[in-house]
Amino acid sequence: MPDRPSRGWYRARQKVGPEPGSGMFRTRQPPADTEEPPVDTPEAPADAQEPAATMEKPLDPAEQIHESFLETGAEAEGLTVDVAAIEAGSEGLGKRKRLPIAAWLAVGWVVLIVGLAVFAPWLPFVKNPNAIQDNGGLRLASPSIDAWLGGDANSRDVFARMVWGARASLMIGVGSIIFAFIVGGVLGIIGGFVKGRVGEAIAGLLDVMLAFPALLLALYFVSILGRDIWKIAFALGIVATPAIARIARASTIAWADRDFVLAARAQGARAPRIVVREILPNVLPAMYSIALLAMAITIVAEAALAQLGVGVIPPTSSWGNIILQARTHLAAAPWLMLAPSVAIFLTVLSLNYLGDVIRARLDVRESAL
Amino acid sequence: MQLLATLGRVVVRLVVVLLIVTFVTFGMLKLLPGDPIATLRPVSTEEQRDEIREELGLNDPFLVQYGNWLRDFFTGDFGRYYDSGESVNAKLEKSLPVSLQLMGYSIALALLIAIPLGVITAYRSGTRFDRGANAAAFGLLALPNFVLGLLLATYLGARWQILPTQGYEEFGADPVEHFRFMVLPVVALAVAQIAVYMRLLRSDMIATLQENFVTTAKAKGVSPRRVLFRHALRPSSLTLLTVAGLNMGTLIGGAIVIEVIFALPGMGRNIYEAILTSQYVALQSFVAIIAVAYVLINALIDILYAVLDPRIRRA
Repeated sequence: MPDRPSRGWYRARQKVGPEPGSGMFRTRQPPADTEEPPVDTPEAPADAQEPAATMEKPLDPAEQIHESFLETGAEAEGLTVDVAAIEAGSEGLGKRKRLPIAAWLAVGWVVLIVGLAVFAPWLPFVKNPNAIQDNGGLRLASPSIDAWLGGDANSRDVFARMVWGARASLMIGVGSIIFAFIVGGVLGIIGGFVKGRVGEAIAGLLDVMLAFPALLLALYFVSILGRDIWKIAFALGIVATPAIARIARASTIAWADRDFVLAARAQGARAPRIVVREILPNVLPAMYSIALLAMAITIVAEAALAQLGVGVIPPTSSWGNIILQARTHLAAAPWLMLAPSVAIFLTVLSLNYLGDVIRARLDVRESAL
Repeated sequence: MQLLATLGRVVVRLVVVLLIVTFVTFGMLKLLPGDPIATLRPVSTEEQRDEIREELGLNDPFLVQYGNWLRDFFTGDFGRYYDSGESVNAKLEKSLPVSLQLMGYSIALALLIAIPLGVITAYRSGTRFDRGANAAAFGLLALPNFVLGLLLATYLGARWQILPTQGYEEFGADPVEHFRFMVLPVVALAVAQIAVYMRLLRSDMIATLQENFVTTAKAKGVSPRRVLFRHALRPSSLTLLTVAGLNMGTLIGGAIVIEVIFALPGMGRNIYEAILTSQYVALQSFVAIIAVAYVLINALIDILYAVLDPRIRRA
């Protein structure tokens, strides 16, 4: 690239690796679990790298692995990756544009439950979730044409409760992640971009937030604050914040040293402009991906909190408290438990899968530029 | 020397984090809306309430209260239940072993299955077996442990009556019964970990298998099994250790739910009961104990990591 080093060319060299994860959010993404073989993470002594490594000295091995991963990804690959990526970009773009069928299925499922949840009050086939059906005749009834998923212990229609439960579960899942995305994103980007005391303070704050087992902290929060839907969402949002913030921070650190940022600085751009115009567009993809994974986890966490007696307050249904109620009738009415279990499983599977797809595709788009 | 410096840093950080964690645990309870005394003694005169406040030190400044609580906490006095007067310590002694058993068994089971699977899928990467195992792992990651636990409880327990689903037996009293009670909770807790460890070890092993020393070993005529388990597994297992440590948080959360579902008298069950009966002093102590243990485990892993991999000490 001798005469026209466009911004895209620099982007092409960058590979943002997955964060090893953190807290409750740690399991989903083992470090370096991507298609390409990991870039020898243990082999990269952090301080033998470019100045970015000495800029701050993480003690946490997870962070260390992650950062050395970012650095080796950015530096060691160098030009060879560019050539490969650009070649793949010109030839393989058409092929890569098609989403696999599984991705469409995942999108389809998410659209279905979101649609049902949003339009529940107006859908003719969704009964009143709190009404006793057939004067109590639907008690623990098995699935039938009238009641698609059977009846629960109070003779209520399980399908209706599932649809209305999706409302609560998704409100908690989406609400908490919107909170975590905004707060975590701002904290992470500032923490990564501003060096010195502010950056260190934010890093320390995130560390401390991660010092609690996530579900325990959420449980403690909710048991103290109360069990309204928005309070549960708030508690889970706080717990999810450091996970997203760490991704944003690591990603910002990786981008902030790139030449196009330097170029923007040289042209006299101020920090806010650099952050919004140069850094943010590059950090967002990694954040979207982790946000989908985190949303899956908060939906599960809501259900887990319900098992611990701090879920959504009945009679409002959520997938968690449908499971809670089903637990007393496991032998007599296993379908009561199966409906929410399958719903949670498919939702989490879809969100995890879409998170992976987004990460893979956005990487492709960047490397194809 | 470097190891000592690392150790020093870890310890300083540890103390700071412990102080903050206990402060948050203690302070959050003060956010509790309403008068704690009203929960304690619903029927009481104003005089009696004042007396209790004085007795519990609730009239002291916040920091004094925190200091006293912290002193008690770190000298091993975790408080009492309001009504019964039962000490939290006694409850802890009974329940902690149960939780440790649950987590210990599930980690052991997970590693026992995940290590061979990870090694084999790395060795046979790209084959149908590898792809199948990966797809299965991806699916299992989407299955929350308590959902799996309930499925197991429904079929193996409630319907076919193969295994008990509610309760616990001490190992000393009846080892066979002990394991019969533990099978379902341990499996439920282990499955997601298997998926995590397997995928991780696989990607690490694939990288290690491309190293020169592996080629050398193969060229020497070392058998594939020996290359895999003796030569390649060790360098690949470092990441596994870290993730096993990071996973502790998930594991603790999972164990709390699993204990409640299978009625195991562990720490999670205590927390559940404390919330249910508004036993906030006990809840506070249990949360603080688990949080402190979690912080200590992570610090231990940091140190262990530095011992195992000398390069990290320099960072």
